[in-house]
Amino acid sequence: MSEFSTFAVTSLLAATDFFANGWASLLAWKDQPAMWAVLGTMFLISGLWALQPGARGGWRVLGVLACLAGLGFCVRLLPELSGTIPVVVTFRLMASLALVSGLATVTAKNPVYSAMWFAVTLMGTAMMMLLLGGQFVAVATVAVYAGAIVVTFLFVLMLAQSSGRDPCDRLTWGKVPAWWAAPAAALLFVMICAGLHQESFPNRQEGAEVVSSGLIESGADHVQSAAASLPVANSVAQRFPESHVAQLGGQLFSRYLIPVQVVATLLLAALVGAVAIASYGTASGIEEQLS
Amino acid sequence: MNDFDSLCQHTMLVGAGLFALGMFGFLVRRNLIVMFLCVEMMLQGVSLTWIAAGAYHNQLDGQVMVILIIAVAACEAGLGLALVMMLYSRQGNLDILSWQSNREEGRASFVDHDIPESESTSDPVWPTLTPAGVAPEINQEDQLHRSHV
Repeated sequence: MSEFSTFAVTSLLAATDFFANGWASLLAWKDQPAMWAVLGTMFLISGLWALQPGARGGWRVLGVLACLAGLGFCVRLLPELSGTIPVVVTFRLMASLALVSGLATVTAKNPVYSAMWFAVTLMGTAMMMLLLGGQFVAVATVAVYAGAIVVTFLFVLMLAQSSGRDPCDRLTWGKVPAWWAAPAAALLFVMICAGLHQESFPNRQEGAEVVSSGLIESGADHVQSAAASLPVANSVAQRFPESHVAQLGGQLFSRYLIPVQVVATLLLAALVGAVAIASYGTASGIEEQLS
Repeated sequence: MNDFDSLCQHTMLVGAGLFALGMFGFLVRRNLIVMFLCVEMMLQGVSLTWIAAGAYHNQLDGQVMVILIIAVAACEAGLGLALVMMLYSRQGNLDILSWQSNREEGRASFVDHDIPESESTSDPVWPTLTPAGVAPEINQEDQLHRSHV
C-alpha cells in the first residue's frame, strides 16, 4: 500500500512537472515507471476524448491510435510478458483483439454493430481464459454469452430499432463526458496498472490448506485438491492437472453448494420476473386491472 | 516472477481495460441497449480478472466465481431487456434522454444543442430503364377514372 501511494505521488509530481515545464521535463523522469503512467494517462484521455459519440471519421482513427499508444505505455508498467513464443503471440493477438473490439463496441454508431463487436470481444476473452487453464469457463462464456445473451440483445434491437439509425447514437451528454468520463476511465485503468506494477504486486498466498479443508468440511474429501497441492509451476499444464475440470465440478457442488443453489433460485426468479414485466400492460393485463 | 505469473498479470491488465472501457461507454452513450452492453463488458472484465487471480494463486475459486457471474449476467440480461422493451413501448425510442423526467428534484433538465441533421437530405436517385418498343395507346377515359380497379 505504501508503495502504491509512493507511486501515485511520483506520478502526480511528474504530471505537474510536465504541465509546468513541457515535454523536455519528462526526460528527467525517464528512469521512473511513473513517466509511463503519466504518458499512458494523457494518451488514453485524448484517445477516449476523440472517440466520444458524434466524432468525425478522422478523429475516430486518431482516437484509436492514441488509445493503443496509451495502452502500450501502460504495459511498460508491468513486468515483461515472458513464455514460449506461441503462448506470447496468441496472448498478444487475443488481448489486442479484445480491447480493440471493445473500443468498437463503445463507439459504433449502429447498435447492431456494437453487439457484433461485443461478440468478438467475448471470443478474445474466452481465448485468454483458455490460455490460463479455464477450459470449461471459456466454453461457457462462448456458449452462454456469445450464444445466448448477445443473441437476445440482437432480438431486442431488431424489435425496437429495426431501422438501425437513431439520432441518440450520435449524441452524448453535451460537454460532460468530454471533460469527465474520459479522464475517469483513463485514470481508473492507469491506477489498476499501477497496482499491477512489479514491486507492489502481492506475493502468492498459501492456498493449499484453504481448499483442502473446505473440501473435507463439506464431506467431499474424495475430490482431490490436486490444484492446491501442486508446487508453484511455470506453465498451465504444470499448474492445473488434466483433471482440473472435474475438480471444478467437485468444488462447485461441495464448497460452493449454497451459492450454486442461490444462483439457481435467482435464475428462476429472473425468469418469472421477466415474464411478469414483459406481459405487464398488454391487453389482457389491462382488462384484468379494469375488472 | 516466472512466465505464467506474467501472463496472469497481463490478463489482469486486459480485464482492467475492458472494465474501464465499459465504464466510459456507460457514461458516454445514450442508447439504452448499448449502455446495457457496456455493463456486460464491465462484467466480462471482472470475469477475466477473476480467472487470472485464480490462476495466479493456484486455485479454482476464480473459475467458480466466473461461473456464478455468467449465471447472474444471464439473469440480468433477461430482466434488463424485458425492462428495455417495456420502456421502448412507452416512449417509442431507445434514447435515455426521454426518461429524464425521472431525474432528481431540483436538477436542471438536459437540452440537446447539437442534434445531427439526418443523413439523407437530398431526394434519392432511382434507377430508370431505357424506353423501348412502341408506346401503347392511352385511353383518356381510363386516366380520369378506372372502372376495373
